[in-house]
Amino acid sequence: MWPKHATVLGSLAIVAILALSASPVRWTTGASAADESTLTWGMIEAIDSLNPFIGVNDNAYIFYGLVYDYLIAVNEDMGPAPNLALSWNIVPDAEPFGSVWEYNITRNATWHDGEPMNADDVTFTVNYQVGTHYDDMWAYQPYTILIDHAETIDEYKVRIHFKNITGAPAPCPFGDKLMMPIVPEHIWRDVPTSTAGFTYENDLPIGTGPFVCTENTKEEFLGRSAIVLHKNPNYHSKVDFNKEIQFDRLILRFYLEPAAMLLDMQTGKIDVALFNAPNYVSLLDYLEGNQDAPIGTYSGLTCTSYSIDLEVNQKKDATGVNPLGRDPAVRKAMAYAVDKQFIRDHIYRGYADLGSSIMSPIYGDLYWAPGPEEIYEYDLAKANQTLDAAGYTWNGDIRVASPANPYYPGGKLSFNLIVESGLVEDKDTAELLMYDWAKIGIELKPEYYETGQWNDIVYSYAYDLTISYWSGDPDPNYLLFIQTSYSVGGWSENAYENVEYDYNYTKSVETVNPTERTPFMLACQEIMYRDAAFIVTVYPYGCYAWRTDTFDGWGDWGAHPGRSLSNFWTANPLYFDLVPKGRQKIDLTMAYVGIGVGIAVAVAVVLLLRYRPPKEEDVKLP
Amino acid sequence: MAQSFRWYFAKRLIYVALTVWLILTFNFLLFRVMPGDVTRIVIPKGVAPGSDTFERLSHYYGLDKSIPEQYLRYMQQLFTGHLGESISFSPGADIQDFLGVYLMNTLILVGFGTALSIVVGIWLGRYTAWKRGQPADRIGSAFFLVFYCMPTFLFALLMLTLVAKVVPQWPIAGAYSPTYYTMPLLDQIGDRVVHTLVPLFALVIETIATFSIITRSSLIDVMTEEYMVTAVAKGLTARVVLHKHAMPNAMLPVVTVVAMNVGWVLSGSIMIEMIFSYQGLGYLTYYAVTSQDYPVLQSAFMLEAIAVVLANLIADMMLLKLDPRVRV
Repeated sequence: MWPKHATVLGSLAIVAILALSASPVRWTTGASAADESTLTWGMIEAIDSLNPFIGVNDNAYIFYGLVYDYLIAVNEDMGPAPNLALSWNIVPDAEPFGSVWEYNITRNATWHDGEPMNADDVTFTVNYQVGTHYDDMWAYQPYTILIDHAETIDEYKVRIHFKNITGAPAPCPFGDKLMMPIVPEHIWRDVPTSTAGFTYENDLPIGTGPFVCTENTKEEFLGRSAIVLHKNPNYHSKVDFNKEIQFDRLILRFYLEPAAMLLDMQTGKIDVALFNAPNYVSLLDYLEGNQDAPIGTYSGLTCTSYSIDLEVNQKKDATGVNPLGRDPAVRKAMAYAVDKQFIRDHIYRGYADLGSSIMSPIYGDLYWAPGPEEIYEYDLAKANQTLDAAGYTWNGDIRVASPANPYYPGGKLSFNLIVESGLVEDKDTAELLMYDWAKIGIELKPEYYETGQWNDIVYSYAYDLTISYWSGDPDPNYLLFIQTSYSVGGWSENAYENVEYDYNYTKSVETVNPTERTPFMLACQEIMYRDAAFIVTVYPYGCYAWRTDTFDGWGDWGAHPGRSLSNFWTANPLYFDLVPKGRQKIDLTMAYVGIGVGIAVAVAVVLLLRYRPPKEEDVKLP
Repeated sequence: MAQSFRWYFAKRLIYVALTVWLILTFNFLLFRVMPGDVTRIVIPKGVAPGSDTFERLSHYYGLDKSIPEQYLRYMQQLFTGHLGESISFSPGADIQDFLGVYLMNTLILVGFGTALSIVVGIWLGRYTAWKRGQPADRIGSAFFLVFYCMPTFLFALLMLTLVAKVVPQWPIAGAYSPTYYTMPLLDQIGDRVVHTLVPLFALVIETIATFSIITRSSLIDVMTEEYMVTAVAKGLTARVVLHKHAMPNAMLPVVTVVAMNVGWVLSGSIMIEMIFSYQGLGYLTYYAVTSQDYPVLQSAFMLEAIAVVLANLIADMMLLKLDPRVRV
């Protein structure tokens, strides 16, 4: 009898647990609790570090911009906006003019742990990353390479001393666009830079930014499901700028695959998200069939100047690399043989602009567009002519260099192309290039690698060609730096070196007057384009969608690109304008009851079958 | 001469220990011979190879030591419960600090899934075999074949879309809600149940079909044996014939398949985890592979390998129970 009783008791226990699980407790299953206004932001990739000196993916930078403040933010029209620095100016008597900038720091900012924030924190943050710490603190090197040191003038006044590449004091034109998070000295002074830049976890990020981490942040980060941030009730913008965030919480919701994020946008479980082109097209298709769906959309160039770049390795002493990639004639022929129109129309479904230099048209007057004489229009005949003229002759299906070729006498035009295997658009582009370039005698062998391995190969210069992407900060210095010879061995992915480019770059970061500075930046882009070491295929659009039934105040992201989600440089103006509209409470009580009853019935049926009166039946053996 | 159960069990344990040691060693060597420079992964950009920083990081990760020294350190750390530090998944974090989160998620999904698959799959297989040739068998077999043949990802995507359409508010992503960590325990359990049901269903439907097909064919095979005729001739009831004579013998291949299936389910759940954004061991493995986080990958592989070895040990013990001849 005992086993039978045990089974019955066990079954009853299961039914009881199931019934309990069906009770209408206050579960909320997606966007928010009913009593707090929450903005839920869907993201495809989880942030890769809580440490602002380690994280590299876009979402990590977004997170840093939510928790930390910068000296200066970016307004909706991409201009500088006061943040921790309420005002700034060039110190007039410092030589050379423009080499020392002074910042007046707010008196109203406090760190999230309650400690007061002052000029010493700013000075610490800057000096923490320059001088002997430069190598360890690699995250903001396009800025720190040109900073000598910072000094505290008084409790709320800081001066930053700039230098040129050689270390001599030099004017700095981007003192009002220094995009790096300011960290608290009382926490980071005990962290050696040898660990801060590599292994320090920063379990509880403490900033002065508009949102605050919680004691669960580390667990949430490690769980990679979501990170819940709370509005900073003491955010200094309320006093300094009379602006306040009007919702209580911000949830960064991480997805591993876009289909679920797309469905969650349609069903209202997230409020805003950035999609890739194929999923954005799916969303537009859905909206066409559901015109009442409360979803707003926008697609356009991102304010980070996102570009897709075909890079040709120029490293001189690299082993196993085809040196013919250093021949300008070969690179120009390659540039003529890239069908950017096809890439834009078919691979990016039309959601991109044709590329030229690493700076996209989002930079306005600072953007250089090739004229009719300079442009590399897709033209295979012209590509063949270029190679013919440079002495490359056909040998079967492939061209070879002449014996007099200075780079690789008699060498074959055969290159590997390193592509990240997870990036579908890049894989499609690689296939297209392989097909097209065979017609001009260039053999292209695509090789697909996971992201980590791709990083390893590319930053070790162990490749011939690769497809990469870049995003930049509001000042062009960031993007122009990566093509200088000063970044070779570090940020530079293709080891491009050009004296003329370096000269123009150096002038561009030493010329304070914007009108005088512009020609140098345009020249950098023109040289980069002409040399084709960096063949920019397209500028993909940011494809955004948001719920209009949960928040008002999204604004016009086309007219004001600084309002888009991609403005991660702290205190995005969008956050202050969003007004929660009240969310319909997610109530799954009936579904829970249904499931509970269903399972209980199933258990009851099993029990019934198990203990039904014996019924004899004939045994049918085969 | 038949061995005693204790002796048989002890011998199996020694084999398991040897297997685990071999797995750990292979796990260590595999990532040492793979191409790539860990230091370069830690520093994606900004620091030139060969610099002091590079050398310091190599020393930090023990990569400047010889392979035997690294192996000793690795084994020493394992036996002291230290799985190493993550390189890129969560730079600097001790792996044992977060591995449990992913293991728990997978255990909930795969553990419940496997248990459910075994119970339901065997029951359905037994039922259809017993009713062979009848409509229940024909319909059941057709369903098994459809779900057995259907790719996991396809069924998961179908489920995802279907649930979003039919019950739009039902959570279709994640192992728990964003606010999970602030919930009381009861709510946390409920939240888990709600988030696990859909991926669980997508996961088990194929394994149920697998176990049903194996059980059905095995049982039908057993029913052709002469001892079954003897049992019937003795006048035993149908239930006794089924439970006491047919099933124990039919279960032998089923137990083997179930044990082998544990490894498959662990790897097969990667697809389910990705589609439902369910952060489990599958996702962790995928991330570690793509970002070349070798210490994390080693730990994930180790867990998965040990799970398979243990499943086989349990299967061996069950086979022993079902068929004492195996101890000879």
